[in-house]
Parts: sequence; structure tokens; C-alpha cells
Amino acid sequence: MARRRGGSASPAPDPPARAVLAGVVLATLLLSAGAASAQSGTFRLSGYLEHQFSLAETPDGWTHTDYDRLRLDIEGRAGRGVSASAAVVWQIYRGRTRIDLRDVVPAALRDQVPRGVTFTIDDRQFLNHAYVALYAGPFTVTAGKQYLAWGRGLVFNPTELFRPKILFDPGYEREGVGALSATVEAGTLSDVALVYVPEEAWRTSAKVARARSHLAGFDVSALVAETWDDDAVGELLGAPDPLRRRYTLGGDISGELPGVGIWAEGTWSTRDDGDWVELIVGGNTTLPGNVLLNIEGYFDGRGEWAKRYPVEEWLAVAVGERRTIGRGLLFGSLSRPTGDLLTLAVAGLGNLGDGSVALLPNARYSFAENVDLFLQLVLAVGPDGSEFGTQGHGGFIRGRVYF
Amino acid sequence: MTTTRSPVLLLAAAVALGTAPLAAQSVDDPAEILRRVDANLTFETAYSRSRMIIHYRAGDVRTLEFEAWAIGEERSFIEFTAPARDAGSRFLRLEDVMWYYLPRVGKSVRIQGHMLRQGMMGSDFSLGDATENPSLVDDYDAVIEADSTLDGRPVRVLSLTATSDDVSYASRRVWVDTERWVPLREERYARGGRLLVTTSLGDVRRVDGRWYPFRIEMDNALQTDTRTVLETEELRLNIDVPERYFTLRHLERP
Repeated sequence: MARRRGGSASPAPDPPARAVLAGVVLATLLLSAGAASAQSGTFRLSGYLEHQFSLAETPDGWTHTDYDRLRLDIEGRAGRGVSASAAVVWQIYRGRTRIDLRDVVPAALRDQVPRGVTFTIDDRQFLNHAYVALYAGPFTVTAGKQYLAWGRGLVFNPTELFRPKILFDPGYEREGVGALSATVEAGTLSDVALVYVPEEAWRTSAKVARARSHLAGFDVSALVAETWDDDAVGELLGAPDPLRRRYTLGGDISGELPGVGIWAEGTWSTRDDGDWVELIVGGNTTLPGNVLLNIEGYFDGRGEWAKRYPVEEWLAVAVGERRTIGRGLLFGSLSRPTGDLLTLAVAGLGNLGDGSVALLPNARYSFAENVDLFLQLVLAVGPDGSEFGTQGHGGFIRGRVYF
Repeated sequence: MTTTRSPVLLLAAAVALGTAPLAAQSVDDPAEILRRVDANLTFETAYSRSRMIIHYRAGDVRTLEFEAWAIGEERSFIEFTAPARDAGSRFLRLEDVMWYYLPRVGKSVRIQGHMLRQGMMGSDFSLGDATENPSLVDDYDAVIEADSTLDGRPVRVLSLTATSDDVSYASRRVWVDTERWVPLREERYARGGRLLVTTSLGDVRRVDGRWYPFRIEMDNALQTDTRTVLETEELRLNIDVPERYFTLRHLERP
């Protein structure tokens, strides 16, 4: 979701005509490249068209937002030891695209949010990823906007430093991160990666070192990172704090016991305003009837056990600075992944401190070979002021056609 | 070098039992029959290109295409190339551990052992079928039930009982072509006697001195709405397969 921060004077979206023109030009270039390269057989062009319609309960009643999303992927091998991959996305929103921040906090805290402070969901045209990878022996160097998707967690990923998952839709794709990375392979299942994510200056650019291996039947990884957190809430309210340097140590482990898959992932972070730990522990098993059970618990040292969360915490979640507000959360899901065209599942997120729950029943239907439909409801259980009870009910239906 | 027993490398590992160039003769020892069947699975390296056609009871048909490489029994790599929805999905198996790469997320995940009964990409071929390369003679005791014919071929029907709890199926019935030593039909049962999987093998062709079934049909009782046909379009045995294919880096390669 594209968010532009700002007060009531937030800039208007780009003119649609300009966006369309840019899209047409880029599509033409991509299609030309695909057509030309198809002759040599080294490039592949693919993508999808997606539409999502969503409903949400707000203090003003039910509102809806929908979008159209077109993604074009191109990938290929430019020669021995060189590959390239890119995807461009156009995403156009309709419906309620301007969110009043007073609507995302409990009624009791509404007066603490200045009137007229909003963020908008803008149409976007962007490169989802675009990188070139060079291989030489055990070395791989990747330059460009690339996937930096780490960790074993199903819903919560403390080691996902750059592109955290969407809480109610964790399986949804996330765009890449502009970076330069170098990986050294140290065996079949072991490697060490150094990642540099450039910002305005070397000092404020992110640096990450990550190693992974397979030990005693378990997949393990460890990372150390220096990143810089911006103050999205302060920016929105017109009083941003300076960037804050953050150091993180973390890792994950996954493996299995007889009949049960298990995993854990955690980080310890330190910043000038304090230290905190994030930790998950999860497991899954197959129940009779080929029903898959997933459970994952999450502890966030920054969160609160109390029901009266401060307004800053609500705003941090609203603008994407934080994914959750509570200190302890539990995720569970039951699904039956079979060859059937229709897959039904029910999932739930619970806040262990305030007792609120978001129930997420969903259905996935394979309408045709390259057509998927996905329906998910969000049923909020809990009083106003609780993490999930404040959000209200909602849901969405999403259709995607691949080509 | 170790050898692989999986003619279709992954999906058909436990069902497609190729045939060694053994002379047709009467064999009354069931263990010897299993040895001959097992011997047919022995390849050092292999590459295949196949189509997996999933037939739904409601009439829908979905076709997936993939390529697969294997070295020995322990290492396999498979990449789906069609349809567009699944293109780029990859599986890596190293011994008894398997990983799955999600192309649009740019991430690989480990597949837990208890999930191996689930159908691969919605097909009747379970992930376990993809990872398990059982040695029938080592894992099962066999008795000869009967001699018969199947699809015009002379077959000997064997009843197999597992010798340990480590295998996925407690018992099997196998219809073995006694001239080509190719199983033409197989039934696999759970410990309680429930029929789990039925396979039919056909389009047997000679490849590299062996008889090989290029068409395998599987009906998995856990996939109630489907049956799946696996058609091998290209098969190359004992070729050079790069070792680097069987690494996490290759699985997650850009």
C-alpha cells in the first residue's frame, strides 16, 4: 500500500494522464525487449493483472477501497554468469484513499490527534525489483532493487528489517530493496552475505551481514545490522525527530521433531531511545484429514500489555512504523491444502494482553488455470481501545489473472 | 558416485520403476523380482522434462510443466516452467530434507516432514513421492499372489509388507511385467489397510538400454477431487549435471 505522509496539505496524486503515459512507454519497452529476446530464448516475460475490492468498518460507517494492479516481469540470462530480473507495477486506487488519523485510534484518544491530519493512498508506478546478478565460482554479487526476504516466521519476522509482512495478509508479495549485496557460498547449504542499502550518505545507509547454514538437521541463520529508523509519526504531525541509528543482532532456526515442524526467530535491537527484543516461536503439524495446523507466538519488547495504549503507538502502527501494538500476540491457522480447486482456511490473531482477536476466515478458489480468487474476512472481536477491537470488521476479495 | 533410483527424478520416484536390461525369464523368488525392479531405478544422473496433467472430477484440467535434474539418490532439483501462475516455483531435495522457492516472494522455505503427504502443486503426487526413493527389496517382504495379464502384458502380482515403520506405506500390491520388469500397476496402503494411492504406468519405451514408463497416472485418496497424469516428454540418463544445481544458492538464484 502506498502511503504519502502529510497533513491536510498533502500533495495531490500524479496526474492520471502522466501515469498512463509513463506506463505505456515502459510497457512498450518491456514488450519490445521480450519480443526481441524471445528469439534468442534467453528472456521471459510474464506477469499478472490483479483487482482487489475491500471493505472496512470505520467511525463514519462502512467504506471501501479498491485497486487495479498490473505487474510485468522480465527476466533473463545475459550471458554465462550474468542474470537480470525486473518487474514493473502499476497500481491505481479508487474509493476511500485519504485516511483521517483520528479514525485509526480509539474514541478515547481521538482528541489527542490534531484535526485534519491524514495520510493518502496514492496511485503508484514502481519497479518491484530490478537487479543484475553476477556469478563467479562461490561468489554472487547482486546490484539493484532485490528481495531481502529473511527469516522463517510465518506471520511475524523480526529479522525482516526492510520489508515486513502485511499482518492480515502475510503471504502477499513485497517489493524489493535497493541494495548492493555480495554472497559467498560456503558449502551446499551455507553462505555469508553482506548487504549495503544506500541512503543519502554512507553513515545513514544500512549495512547487514548475514550467515546461514544447516546444522544437525536444522536450518540456522544469524545476522548483524546497522539500520536507521525514520520518524514517520513525527513527520506526519509536523515535528519529525532525526533519524535514529539502530543496531540489531538476530537469527532464526527451523527444523522438525517427529511429526511437528518447529521454528524460532528473534532479534535484539538497540537505539538511543532504548533496547528491545522481538521473538517468535512457531510450529506446525498435519492433523487427520490432511488439515494443516500452524501456530506462531510473537513477543515484541516495544509493545504494551495494557489495554490503554498511548496514542503514539496507534499512530506508529497506522503509518507502518510498527506492525503490532501489543507485547504478546498469537497466530493460529487451520487449512486444508489439497488439489481441490477450493481451499478453505480459518486463521486468527490474538492479543494476549488485551484479549482482542481478529478472526480471518478465507477461501481460495482456482477459477481457471491462471486465475485465482481470494476472499478474506476480518472479524474484529474486542472492545474499542483493544488492539484488534478498535480496527472494526472488514475484508477483501482479490482476483488475479496470470499471463 | 551414488546412483538415483528415480526415473522421473522427483515426482515419479516411488512409482516409476524403470527396467534393467535383464532377460525375460521365469523368476519365482519374490525378492529377486524386487531386486530386478530396484535395479531398474539405478541411474547416476538424470534430466527430464515432463508435463503433469491434473484432472478434476468436475471436468477441469490443469497442466503444469517442469524440468528436473538429479544426482544419485540424495539430490534432486525441479523447476516448474508453466503455467504462468506456477512458473519459477522450484524444489530442492537433499537427502530427506526439502526446500521450496516462492518466486514472487523471493524466498525459500523448508518443507516439514509431516507435510510430505500433501500434493505437490495440487497434484496427486505427494511431496513424499518426490522425496522418497524406497528400495523395495530392503524395505518390504514380498510374496507372489498370482500370475495374470494386464493391458496384454504378462504380469506377476506381488504383495509387499513393510519391514519397518520408516516407510510411508505399510503395504503395497505391485503388478510387475515379467518380460520388461516394469511395474504396470501399484496400490499403496496405509497401516490400517486403507488404500491411499493407485498408480498405472504405461507408454513403456526403451531408453539407454532400459524400459521406461513415459506415462504414469496416479490417484491419491487424499486428493479426493483429482487424478494426475505424468507424461515424460524428454529423458536423458547418465549425463553431466552440475553439482551447483543442488544448492540453496541455485534454488534462490535471481
